[in-house]
Amino acid sequence: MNSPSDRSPRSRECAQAVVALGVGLAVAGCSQGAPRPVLTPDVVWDAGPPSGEIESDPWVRAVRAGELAYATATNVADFSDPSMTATWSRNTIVWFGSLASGRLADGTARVVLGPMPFTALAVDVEGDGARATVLGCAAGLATDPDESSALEREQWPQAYSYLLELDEDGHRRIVGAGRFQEEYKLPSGENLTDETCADVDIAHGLFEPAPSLADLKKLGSDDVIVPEPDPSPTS
Amino acid sequence: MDLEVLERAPEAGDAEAVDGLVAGFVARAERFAQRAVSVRAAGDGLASASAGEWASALVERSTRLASGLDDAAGGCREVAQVLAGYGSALRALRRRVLTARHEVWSARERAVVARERYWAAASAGGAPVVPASWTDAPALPAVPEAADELRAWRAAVRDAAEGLRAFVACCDEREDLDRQVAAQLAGLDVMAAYAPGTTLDAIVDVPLVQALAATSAGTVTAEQRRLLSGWFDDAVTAVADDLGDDAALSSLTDFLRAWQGDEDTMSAAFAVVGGSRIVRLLTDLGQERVAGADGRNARLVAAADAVRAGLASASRTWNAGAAQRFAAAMVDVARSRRGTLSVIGYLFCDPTGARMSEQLTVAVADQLDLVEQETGLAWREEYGSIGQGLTTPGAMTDGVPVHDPAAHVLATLALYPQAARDWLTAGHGEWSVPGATPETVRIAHWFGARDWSQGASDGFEVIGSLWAVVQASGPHAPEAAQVAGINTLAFKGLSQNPFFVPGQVSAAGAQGVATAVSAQLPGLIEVGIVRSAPDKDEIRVMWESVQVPYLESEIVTARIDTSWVGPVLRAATSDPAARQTVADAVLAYQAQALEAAYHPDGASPGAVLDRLAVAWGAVDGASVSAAEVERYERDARTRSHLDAARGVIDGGVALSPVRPMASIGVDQLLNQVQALAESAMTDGPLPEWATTSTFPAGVDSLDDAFEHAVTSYREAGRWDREGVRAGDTGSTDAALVADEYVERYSLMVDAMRARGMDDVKESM
Repeated sequence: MNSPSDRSPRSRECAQAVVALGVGLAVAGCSQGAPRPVLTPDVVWDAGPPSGEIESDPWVRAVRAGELAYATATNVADFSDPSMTATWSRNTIVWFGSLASGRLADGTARVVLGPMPFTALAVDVEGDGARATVLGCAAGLATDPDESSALEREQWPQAYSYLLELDEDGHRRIVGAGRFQEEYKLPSGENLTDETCADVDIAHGLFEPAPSLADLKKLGSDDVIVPEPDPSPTS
Repeated sequence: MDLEVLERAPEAGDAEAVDGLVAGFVARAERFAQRAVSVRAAGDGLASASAGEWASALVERSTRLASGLDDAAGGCREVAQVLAGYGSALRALRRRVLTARHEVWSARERAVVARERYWAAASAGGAPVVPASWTDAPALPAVPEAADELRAWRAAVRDAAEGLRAFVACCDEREDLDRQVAAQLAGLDVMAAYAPGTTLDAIVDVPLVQALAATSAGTVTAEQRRLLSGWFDDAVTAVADDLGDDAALSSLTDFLRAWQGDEDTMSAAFAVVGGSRIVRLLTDLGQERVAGADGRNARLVAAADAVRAGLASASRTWNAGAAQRFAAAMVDVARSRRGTLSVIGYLFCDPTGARMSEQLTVAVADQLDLVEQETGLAWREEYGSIGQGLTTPGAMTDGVPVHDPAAHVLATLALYPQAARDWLTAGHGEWSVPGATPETVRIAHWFGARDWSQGASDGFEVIGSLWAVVQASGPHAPEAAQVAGINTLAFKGLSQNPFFVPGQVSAAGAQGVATAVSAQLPGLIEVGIVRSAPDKDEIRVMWESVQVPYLESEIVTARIDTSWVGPVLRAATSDPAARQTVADAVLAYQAQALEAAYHPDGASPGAVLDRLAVAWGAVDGASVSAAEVERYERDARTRSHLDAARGVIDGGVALSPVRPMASIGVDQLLNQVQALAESAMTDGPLPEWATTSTFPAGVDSLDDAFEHAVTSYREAGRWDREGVRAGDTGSTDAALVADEYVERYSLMVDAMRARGMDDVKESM
């Protein structure tokens, strides 16, 4: 299960790939020292993994894969793994990298204990099938340390949504995600709101073994890795 | 007698149509004549606006052109004359043809009648009747009694023959007329080339001067552009070839001054000459400057100024594509030729006198962004640059530092707020939820990484004012969300910019940042000061809606992590005037929040006091921290003695050169609380004394002030516990509650100071 993801050697492209991405972000393959393999750990679910017919929907599966990749990438400060680049848009990845770099610089780095707890309730595919919104309820990331305020904890679970696009390479990528505050009627007839979500079961999964905060904090803000830019930058 | 000739139609042809042709040629002749007049006038105008050989070339060209037009007018007049003659000949011919035909037919009738009578008379006289055609009248009568009838017959036949001859003459005449007119028309040059709407019009309608005088965009043809560029090109080349040629220089300057108000003319001229030659020319001019040669320098500076004004005018008509082409060509030269970069700075450094258009500004900003993102470094020259020399004919002073062109390009961009917003987020983006994450790298570079420090650039003046300018947006969600998104990225960027520290931020830079922060204060207090941006899903959306104590509906605000606030507020409070801007915003917030807390169903007084405590703490902590940093830097510079400096820093709040926010805030709070309390108790309008009354004697510290406020709200029946962090002790003692607020204040002051020195030490 624990297999290093495929990392193609990139040292030759490195010389040309010195691209500034905001503050102190290393481009994949250009970091100094030994490469850090991105291992996707096992996830142990409190009451079984998310299930139901909707879980077989390709858009929902892309969200699951994306959240697992995000949590994994955050814990090792490496967002360049194919598991990440195949599930999130470049804009989102660069932004995550920049936030991670800032946290390491500020000494506020944290590990994510498991993928975002999320129950999918609806998939809204746009006409041409190239774009979809996955809607449901999310319970918020469990982190170590947990600096969230009481005020913030009160805001979870909340109505949550993912916007995805089917790219030309056949991958469905998350281009945006966040609290859902618009009007949406679920297949059940109810509106999707934070109140609705209070009554929805949300499966929580934790990485086994738990990620190491100490290991993450050994890294500096320059050690965060983001993928090389596309030759033709798009989203 | 051959009557078949009458089948011919020598009168054929539409004389009215010929009249139309005549009128057309007369009109054309007039048009050409008028154009010749205007070409001569324009040529004279150009000559008076210019000087030297170039000007005489202009006159020569326009004279030649005008003569051509005169010739064309003369040709058309001749054609009209020929056709007019043809028309009237045709009309006369038609009358004679009708007469001749009539003559023949009536003579034939008379002949037939006379023949019958002749035959009757001959028969009565006993002569045999020999049948014959009406034209074949016998020479002698068959019997003498028929002699009169035969005379009448023969006369009628003669008349018919006469008519027929006249008709045939008409036929011949028509043939001759057609032949003659054709020959006359063929002899005219103008006809050889003429086919209406094609060649002749095209040749004659494309005068150079028409291109110069073109008044509407997009009507300039390739031919016109070529002719026009010929002039401007020649002038630019003449100057570039011999920079010492003052006559060429003044003719270029005069040309631009004469035409700079004509956007379309400038547009065509600059587009043809192109961005690379324009910046090369200016770089050449800048290099020609020689210390002491004041008259010469003044001419160089005047020429550069005219080019800049012309470009500003030209750029107003360009679409994005044209602007991008021009900008790319300019920046291309700057990549390889030293001095050109500051020339680009020079072109953008007079936004009031010569303001580059939105399209060109965005295009050049795009180009600079491209280069700086490639290298990760600020792309600029040194003080005393070539561009700098073009700003003044006198001695070079620091003046406007054009060596850092991005400062001027972004300052111009700030004049177009929506374009600035779209540029910062690299497009409109999707600002709904769910929406795609916008491009974040651009702000990360310009706010987060670039060195705008006083030593190297403008001390964050431009980036601060750009940030302030984009705050004003429409009330609608997409714009407000875009602004909030920019604020999220700007806070994140500035807070991590190693050059963004007090001492490196100029007074103007601090003012810009202070204005930007003040504009978003109510939202910032909720997300960023009272609490951090939600932590449990990372900042995946760049904005959120929050409740502000004194507003009924939620507002859209940035998602700010508390750790980003310190560095930004520290810079914003590092200058006294800028700090006052922030303090005024806090006081305005406080006035509304305190009042709202008195209204039934209004804001929670507990929550309001909590927000005041942290807002005061944030401003005071940042101010103290800024003073500490500046003191540290000063000491480090003068004494290079870290320990000594640290000793001074430990002096803490006492270092602050200004009155703490808490103290100012407390004054206002006590005044307002008392006034509001009076009002609440009397349930009437505020008496004037109340708004100016001072708080009760003895209240002179932060905890006394909070205690007084709690008591006051309690007496008004409005007190609650919401917003107080400590657990509910069940205590009704206002003093204990006040302690909690003071604690909040102190914690916030400490939080703001906590990491202030870290950045300084790292960057030193």
